[in-house]
Amino acid sequence: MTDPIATTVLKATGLHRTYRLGRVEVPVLRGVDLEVKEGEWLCVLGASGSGKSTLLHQLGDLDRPDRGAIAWRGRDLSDMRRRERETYRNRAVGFVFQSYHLMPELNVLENVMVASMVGHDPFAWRSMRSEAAHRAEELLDAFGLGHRFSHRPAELSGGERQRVAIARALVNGPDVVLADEPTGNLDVKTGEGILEVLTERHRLGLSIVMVTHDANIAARADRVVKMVDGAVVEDAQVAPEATH
Amino acid sequence: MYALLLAFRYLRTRLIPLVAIGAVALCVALVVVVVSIMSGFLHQMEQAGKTMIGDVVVTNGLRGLPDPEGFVAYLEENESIAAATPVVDTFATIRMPYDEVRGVQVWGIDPESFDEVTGFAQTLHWTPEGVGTDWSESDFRRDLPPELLERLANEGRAMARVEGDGTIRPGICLGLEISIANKRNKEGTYEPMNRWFMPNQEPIVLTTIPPDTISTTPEPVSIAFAPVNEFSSGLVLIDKERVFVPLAEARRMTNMTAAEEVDEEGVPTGNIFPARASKILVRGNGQTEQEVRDEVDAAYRDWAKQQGHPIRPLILRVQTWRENQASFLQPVENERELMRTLFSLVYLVCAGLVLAIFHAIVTEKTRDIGVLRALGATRPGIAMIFVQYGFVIGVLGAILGVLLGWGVVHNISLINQAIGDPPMAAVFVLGVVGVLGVWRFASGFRSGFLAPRVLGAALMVVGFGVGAAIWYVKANGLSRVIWDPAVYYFAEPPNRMDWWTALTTAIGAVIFSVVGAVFPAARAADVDPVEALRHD
Repeated sequence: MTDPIATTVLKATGLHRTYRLGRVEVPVLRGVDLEVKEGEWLCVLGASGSGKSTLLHQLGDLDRPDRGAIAWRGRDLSDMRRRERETYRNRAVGFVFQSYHLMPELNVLENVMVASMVGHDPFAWRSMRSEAAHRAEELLDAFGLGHRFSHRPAELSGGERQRVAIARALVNGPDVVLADEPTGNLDVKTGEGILEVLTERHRLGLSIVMVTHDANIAARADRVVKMVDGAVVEDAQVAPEATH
Repeated sequence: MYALLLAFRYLRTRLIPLVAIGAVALCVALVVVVVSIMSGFLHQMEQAGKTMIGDVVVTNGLRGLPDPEGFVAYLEENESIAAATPVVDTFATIRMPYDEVRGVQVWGIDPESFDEVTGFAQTLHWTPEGVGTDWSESDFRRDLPPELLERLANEGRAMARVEGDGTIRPGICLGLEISIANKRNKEGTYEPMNRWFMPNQEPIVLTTIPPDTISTTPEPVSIAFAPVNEFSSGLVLIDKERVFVPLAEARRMTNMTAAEEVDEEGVPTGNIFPARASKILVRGNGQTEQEVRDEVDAAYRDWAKQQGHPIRPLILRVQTWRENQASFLQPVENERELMRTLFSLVYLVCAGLVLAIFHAIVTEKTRDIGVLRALGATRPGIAMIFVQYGFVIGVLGAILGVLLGWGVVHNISLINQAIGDPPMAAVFVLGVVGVLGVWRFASGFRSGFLAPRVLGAALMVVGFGVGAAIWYVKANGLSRVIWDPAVYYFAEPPNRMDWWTALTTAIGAVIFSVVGAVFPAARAADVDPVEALRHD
């Protein structure tokens, strides 16, 4: 359950986004307002094509709204310079994708550490390499992958890959994890394991915005936002007995 | 840091970059081999040209240089001059003992001072110096008694033969390519035909028309010489045109001997015109050839002024050996530069290859690019992955290309021989390749896959086809060595690596590999992260 007076980490106001497919304009977001509090687990529930993934990309600054604003801890992303936005993507948010998106050429440890590497120039990286490696190893150990550091993604199961992806999202200590159907490619049991990992991190204070179309998964969240045709149609706290 | 890590990982885990490295290496090796061989060829020509000239040449037109011995003595007082020698240069017909008459270039020399300037004695062919050392098994000189070789060497160095009755006959030393007695074999060494050789033959007659008598009535001059030795300058062009005779005889043939002046009525005036020479060759004492040239030029002007010899500024020439040989060396140098320029086009091939390959890699790696952007990677950071990747491919390709080029240049003789006359072992190896092709083709049929069948067919064509062609060529005696020492100026193709060209080509290949990577890198940087993450 989220503290009602907790700080707002992310705030989206009046987001609009329209894609053009040839001559046809397809409105995907139609004035979405959303607020994510510190330590809150928010699920965005909706059918395919409802705009929930686009919303996630907007929150993660992978895409920009046509209209509207996104603020991180009160600061509008559109006011940030390019370098600051890149730092925002590297440090403030962590992405978890449905298809894991691990790099096949890197081993498990490198796949996690690459997020730290990206955020530092080569000189800075030299001085903090061991610290980053230690943090990555800690996370992987915590996720039961301590024996898999040198394995390539192709040698892992789906559940293991997703845990590596979560470790990568967490290695820089973000404010919010943006998870796009993180269990979508997994069987129920493996998916349950992934949700347990996220639940554990949420208990430690991590904010999560998770996109899903599965109401059962949404029931684990503190708050559920329902989207239909690019608009929020319902924003409700989940009853405490239903969560976790 | 991630850019370098990914560049190396992409390199290690994919086949296509290896193709790019191989292509860059082949391009670099191609330039290195071609330019090195051209440079080596030029170097050999320069060395051969210099061997017979010294550092500086003084000429003074048809009239020649008066009292050259006096000038040589004056010149040798100068510490920067090691040696100098007068030469009389003319053209003559030569009558060979086997009833052939042909034109030759005659150099009248003082053997001792000429040797000091040019190392002439080292070029003599019939000498005992090589006994038991570097002569090949087939070298006829092995069969000659050392005493005979010793006598021939002495006669060659003295340019004279002492006959049985004690008379001294002027000697002639012929270029090794002049006589039909010497047959150049495929190893580039010489074998006397029917085991007879020139220094053992009958006198040779040179006939010429002294150039400055043409204005009156041309009177041919003929002199018989004893063939005392033959020389090999290392340059066939010289060896098949030039003969050396004693300076005094050459002066007689060209009317360059000392003479008394006569007045209009033909009465001697008592003034003696000193003997002349067509040119004076000078060897310096360690200075650059330009420095020696300037010293000699100043010395000649001083000396001529002292002696009262007129100087004709437009006719008198004091040149370095390189300037003197410019008409001979310049075309080769120009050809080398043309080759270098034309073959530099392979840089564009490098750039094009890297561009095409990286275009494919960027497309393949689009999703990784999206992930990296999601992790906060900057656009320049993404671009740097591919630029560094291109740089690594360029560096590895360049290093490999230089090594490959060095290997080819270093073993050019062996390669030349193997291509021209491949060993039967090559037929066997190609046969094995053909059999492997049959096996692969058959296994492709069993598995139902097309790729092994295509590979098998290719191996069969290469193995059986090329093998059969080689066998046919060998069986019918059609082998032909590309660089045939019996034909070319030099016995062996040059195998001197041009390291400067190797370095510049390698740097060029790296630069153009990076240039080829820049456009795909920029395209990667521009990839929309959302689209990239959807890319499959």
